[in-house]
Amino acid sequence: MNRRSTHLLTAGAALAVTALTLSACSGGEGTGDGGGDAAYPSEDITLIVQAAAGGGSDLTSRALANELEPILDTSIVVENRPGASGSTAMQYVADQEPDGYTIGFVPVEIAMLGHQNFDVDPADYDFLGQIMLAPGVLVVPADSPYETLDDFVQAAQSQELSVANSGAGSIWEAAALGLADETGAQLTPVPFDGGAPALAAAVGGQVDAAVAGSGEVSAAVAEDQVRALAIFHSERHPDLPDTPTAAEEGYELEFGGWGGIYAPAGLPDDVRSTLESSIEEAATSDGFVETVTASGALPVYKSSSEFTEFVSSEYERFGQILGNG
Amino acid sequence: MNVISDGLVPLLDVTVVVCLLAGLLVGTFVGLFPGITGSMAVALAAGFTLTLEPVQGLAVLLTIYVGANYGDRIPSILVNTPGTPAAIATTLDGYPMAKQGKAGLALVASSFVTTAGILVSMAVFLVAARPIAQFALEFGPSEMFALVVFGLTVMISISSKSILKGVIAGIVGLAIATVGRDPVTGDERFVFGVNELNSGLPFIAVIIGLFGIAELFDQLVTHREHLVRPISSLGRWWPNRREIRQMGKPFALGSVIGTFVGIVPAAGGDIAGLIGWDRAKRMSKEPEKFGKGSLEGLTAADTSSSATLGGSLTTTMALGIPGDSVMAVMIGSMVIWGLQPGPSLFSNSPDLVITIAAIMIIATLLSLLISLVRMRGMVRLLDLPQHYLWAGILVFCAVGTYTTTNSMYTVWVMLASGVVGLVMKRTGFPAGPVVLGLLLGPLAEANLRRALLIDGPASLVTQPISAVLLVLALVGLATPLVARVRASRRREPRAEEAHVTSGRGR
Amino acid sequence: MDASASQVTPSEPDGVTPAPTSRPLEIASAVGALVFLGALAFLARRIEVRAETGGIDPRWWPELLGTVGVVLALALLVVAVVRPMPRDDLESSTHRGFVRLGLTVAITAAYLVAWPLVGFLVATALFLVAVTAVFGGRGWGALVLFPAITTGFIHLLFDVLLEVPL
Repeated sequence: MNRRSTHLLTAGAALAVTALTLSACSGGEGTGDGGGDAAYPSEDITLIVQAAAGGGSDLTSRALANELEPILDTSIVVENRPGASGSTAMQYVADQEPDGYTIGFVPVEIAMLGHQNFDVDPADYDFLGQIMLAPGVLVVPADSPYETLDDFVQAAQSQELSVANSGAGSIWEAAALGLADETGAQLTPVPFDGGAPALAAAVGGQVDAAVAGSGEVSAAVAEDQVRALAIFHSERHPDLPDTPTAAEEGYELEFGGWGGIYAPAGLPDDVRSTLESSIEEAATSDGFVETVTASGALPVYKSSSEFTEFVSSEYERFGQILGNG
Repeated sequence: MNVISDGLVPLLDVTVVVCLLAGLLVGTFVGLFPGITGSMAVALAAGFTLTLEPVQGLAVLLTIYVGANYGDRIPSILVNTPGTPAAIATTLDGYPMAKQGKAGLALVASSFVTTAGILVSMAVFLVAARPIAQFALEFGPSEMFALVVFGLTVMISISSKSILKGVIAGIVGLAIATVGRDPVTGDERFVFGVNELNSGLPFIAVIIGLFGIAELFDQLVTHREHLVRPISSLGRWWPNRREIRQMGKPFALGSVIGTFVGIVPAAGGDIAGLIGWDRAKRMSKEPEKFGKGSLEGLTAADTSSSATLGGSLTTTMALGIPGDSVMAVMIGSMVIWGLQPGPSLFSNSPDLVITIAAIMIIATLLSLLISLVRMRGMVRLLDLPQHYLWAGILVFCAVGTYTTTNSMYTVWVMLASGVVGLVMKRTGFPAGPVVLGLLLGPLAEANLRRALLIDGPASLVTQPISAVLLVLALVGLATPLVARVRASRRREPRAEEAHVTSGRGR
Repeated sequence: MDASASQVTPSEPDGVTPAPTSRPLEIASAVGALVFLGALAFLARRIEVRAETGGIDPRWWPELLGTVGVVLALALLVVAVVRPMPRDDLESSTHRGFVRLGLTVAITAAYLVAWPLVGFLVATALFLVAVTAVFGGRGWGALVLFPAITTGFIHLLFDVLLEVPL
């Protein structure tokens, strides 16, 4: 037994030496005294994502990180901190030092969670720029009697219609509530565990309709598994050219799953401007635009000041919708 | 013919072969490491593979998917810690077998039935993907609820010693699963102001704690230095003729159940393994051996959990609806590559379907080969002195758990679950039902309430699938109870009772 | 299978002492279950709901579980008093074993506290030295090499290969 374990140990020792050498190499640039006077960035930057690896937010964040790395000339470590509707990550970001070495992907939920008993306040963050938008789309089963948004709303005046969404407290539930508020329709939001099962319920005809992001529905629409009645955005979506906007149908409603980059409030001015310009460059780069477009979302960029204003207007809007809901 | 060769040619590329091997290596490692699941590994790898050609990328991702299904059986059998949730049911008989000195046999049998299970389900994928996938669309909330209720009756079977304690343990599991936000209204339940609890207790941390850490703690408490540990004796590697014949029925049962459960969206290998194990027990001639090192139990669990692979691939590729969490990530990657899974995939690019199937099959065969080759080395690990083994298990579980959320809170949950698991073990409450409750509780409640929101209570019994499943669940609940009462009254030979159970179980 | 409980797993190696049947332990565990499930039933009633809908609301499912659970726990309490279940499928515990367990849990807890403070590499190496010593490892191989190699391996696997920061 002893001989065997010694053998194992020798084998492992080689591995350990390699590991330590490697860590010394990769850690080398990061070990300079943090917050020193060296030009920002002098260390690795951590990008916090509020969802688990593999989801839309994660994908977008990693694509942006890829573009940001050469621009900022540093490594960007994407760190997933899923949990509690994203509030775990948001609270974590708020608690970090505002030195520009911790930034995060901020989803639309930041404007909603505060109204749902979570301890999340947009005032705790510096918003550095919006990078994407996935507008909501209302779809009905392929054999549904409703051909237009108006049909649907009319029918829902006299009878209760079920609308699937990706989860309790999600943006798409809020969209259904918003539509009901605006039109006086009787809509029952039915929360599912994610966008895919919600869409599946519409494909299978178990619900009267579903609201989901453009990326989630475009394939099913193209396959005629569901019919898209309207998109909640100011203009039509390139993947859904035949789907009218809600405004075209006479309902001024916009709902979107947007995402941007934020940092804990109080970034030093120079750090902030470096980050803002790099994010603009990365978010409008061909590589990033391509990835976002392929995923079915829109590569919408908003500058830091526009985005900050947008977040606070969304925050107020959802306060009303969720308060009434 | 043309389609088949068109589908196979891209695989002859050297890069694709390298990708296959890389995926296989990562997959096996990931499965081996408790805490890291196939979906997490595929998600991480997806970050790297986006820049590759679609076929190369698919080779990496699909082989990780397959490889993880082999790796995760090893810690289940050797140290009672499921490498991924899909291997939960493997621990029920695999670990007792190892304790009886049959670790070698358990590993070999497990690898073979896993392979065969995947191959059977892949055959279904190739032959009948589109018609079968339509079946998945029938699964709305009321059908899901019925399936889950059916799954909950497994609780009776896994509480082999005392039904009362088993069911109480199950209810505790169901209760723990209600912690967090209500699935329909989003109201807080049992959150007590702790933000992390909003998303409930982390499932993986709890199962690692209840199974692996609790077993380790139990060994710490009972270890006597002068005793030789039974596990280091390996025994035979290959099953004998009688054992192979014994494996036939649970294998057939397992592959049907696994493929079926795999097709149902959002139900994966964890649920399938438990249901397959339960069904095999009810139909077995020796149900009393289940949970105490039954080769039949191991066969059923591993076959059905691995047969979900082809099933969920079917749903994913033929409908564009993810069949499990790994497939959800896979769809994301495919879309970026410009490949859209869905009904038209089969009509527009049948060659790609062939490529995907070929990658899965090659990966499966290679995984079998690798697992047979490295098996001896794996089992040797158990020969290491006790202190290396214990310390290793502890640190690997802690790190694996940490990486699921990058938060120390998750590791604390694992440690606490380990202590709770030890107390339960010492007081005779089985861990299996708790995990079953955790797994199925949220599905049961959420789907019931969704069904009620949509159609009211009538839909549960008027929809044919859900009605049939609910009746089956009732029968499943009643028969073991009846059989048990009879057995205790008549005190007849065990085989007789088993016969009654299996006869009714159908 | 109550009857089968008396059947010791045949393969138990010689020299293993099965844990003794204990009525107090059975009663204590039944009371424990009763308290937990009673608390569940009680707290379920006090869940705050934003919109009162009645019927099947967020309280319904936990309340149902709590109520059924309390009934079953009471039944278990009766069984525990009347006919405590044998525990012969378990090995008996030792005093030294409990000391070892206590130390392990304490060291692991300390490790989880130290990890964010001093970093993964240092904390893990020290943790491994400590637990290996508690588990009976002696000598430079067990107390120096093993912790260093294991820590290095995990670091290599996650930080370097998978790019998951620890």
